Amino acid sequence: MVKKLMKYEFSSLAKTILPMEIVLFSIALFNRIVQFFENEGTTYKIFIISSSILLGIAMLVSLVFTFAVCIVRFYRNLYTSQGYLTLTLPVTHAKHIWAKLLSAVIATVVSFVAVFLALAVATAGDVFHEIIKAMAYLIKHYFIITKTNGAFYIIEVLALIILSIASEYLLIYTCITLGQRAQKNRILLAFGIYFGIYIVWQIIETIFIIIAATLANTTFINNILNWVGTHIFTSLHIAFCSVTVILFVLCLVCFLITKRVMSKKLNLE
Amino acid sequence: MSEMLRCENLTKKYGRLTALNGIDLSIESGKIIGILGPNGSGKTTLIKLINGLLVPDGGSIKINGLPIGTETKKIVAYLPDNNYLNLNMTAEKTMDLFCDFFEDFNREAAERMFAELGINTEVKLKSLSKGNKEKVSLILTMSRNALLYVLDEPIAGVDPATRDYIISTILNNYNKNASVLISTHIISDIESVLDDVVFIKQGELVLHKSVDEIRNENGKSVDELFREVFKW
Repeated sequence: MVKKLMKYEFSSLAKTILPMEIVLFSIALFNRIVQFFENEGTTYKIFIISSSILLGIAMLVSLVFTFAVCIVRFYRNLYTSQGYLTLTLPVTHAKHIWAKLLSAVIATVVSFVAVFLALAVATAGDVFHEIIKAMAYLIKHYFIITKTNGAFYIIEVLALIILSIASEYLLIYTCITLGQRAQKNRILLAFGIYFGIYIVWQIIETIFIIIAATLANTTFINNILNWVGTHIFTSLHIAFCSVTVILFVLCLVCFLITKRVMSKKLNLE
Repeated sequence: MSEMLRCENLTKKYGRLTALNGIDLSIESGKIIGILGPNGSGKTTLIKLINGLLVPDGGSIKINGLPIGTETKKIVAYLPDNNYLNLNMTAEKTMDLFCDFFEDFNREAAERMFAELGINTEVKLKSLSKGNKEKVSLILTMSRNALLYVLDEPIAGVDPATRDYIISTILNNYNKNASVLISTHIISDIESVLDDVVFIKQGELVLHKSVDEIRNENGKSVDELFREVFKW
């Protein structure tokens, strides 16, 4: 069922996101074509600067747009008039959330890849070749110097990226779903909940920093810092894994709250 | 006849407002039942509860002996009182969706009805007229071989010819072993097709009788009784 739901998710998302990606690639291509006419003239400078700025904006807009489209799709498909069909399909609420989440994460990753490819188009030729060579060199030598398993790092980073994207979507899904509990101003309440959570998170971070600052120069902290200094790469692994676990717990909590509210407190207008 | 729908002490509140107050209702299979009441009486709330779009604050609902959930959604065909389809999709794609998720969806029947009405299934639904959008929704709902059809205000806000088409579509297409719940406040046009009627007033069930009982016991038509019960 999740696969079937995702088929319709992708179909809907593609209709909105693909035109944006086409615009992005067109701007990248235009930028590359302009570079063929390189000269010292003012006209060329105006064109290359304008198209480069436009490309930068398009890349940013493409990522934000994809994110916004995925969120709007979740809200519109579940909690507006479309919800009358979506939520009467013989599918569990958990599967609806999974389908929306997986589609959104995949669409976001594809959007990042599209931005990278647009950059590749704009820098196609020697520049792009040099960038790739430099990146490959840096990564290869990093693993040699640190004597670490490259595959392990890549898995950790990928897990971190995927969970970061998923947690952001799930947090917003939770806020939108909790917002549906209100009789009116539901979107406003969803925004309120989101910023409420953000403020609470900032307070927790500040408290953590204050505690860390208070404990500075104590034997306990010094021992930790010494250990980190002598085991820098293990520390890096621990940091990656810790953040991954925190994000996983955040995803789990948001998923369970969203599912619970949908199952027990659904209140479609 | 088996019991298709059972509501026991069903209660739903919106904040301080009690939309449904302790409704007890039993509907048998094979009948067409009118859920009648003025605007704001609780008809749509009852229908949303039957479809799992709201969760009751008290009491229970069972459809074919099952609590509301994925299994009941397989056997309930629902037509909401507003447009519920994705207007960026075509009727063709919407039929694909119904085929994918509802095992009881009869695509041939739907295509036949679209062809009879001359509705182009290849254009986006948003480009259809309001009347045709409503017909698309009705056709999709009635093309299911469901056990319970729940139609919320299917004849409200349409011209008399469309009203006739809607009523005939319902009568010609529903599974004869199924029950059909039709919520409306336009009674005269639909009275002749109803077996039973349920009157809901301010969230309370005030009457549940067969149309024949009303005619024999009260000596009135359903429309006349409705006007009497809901007189201001």
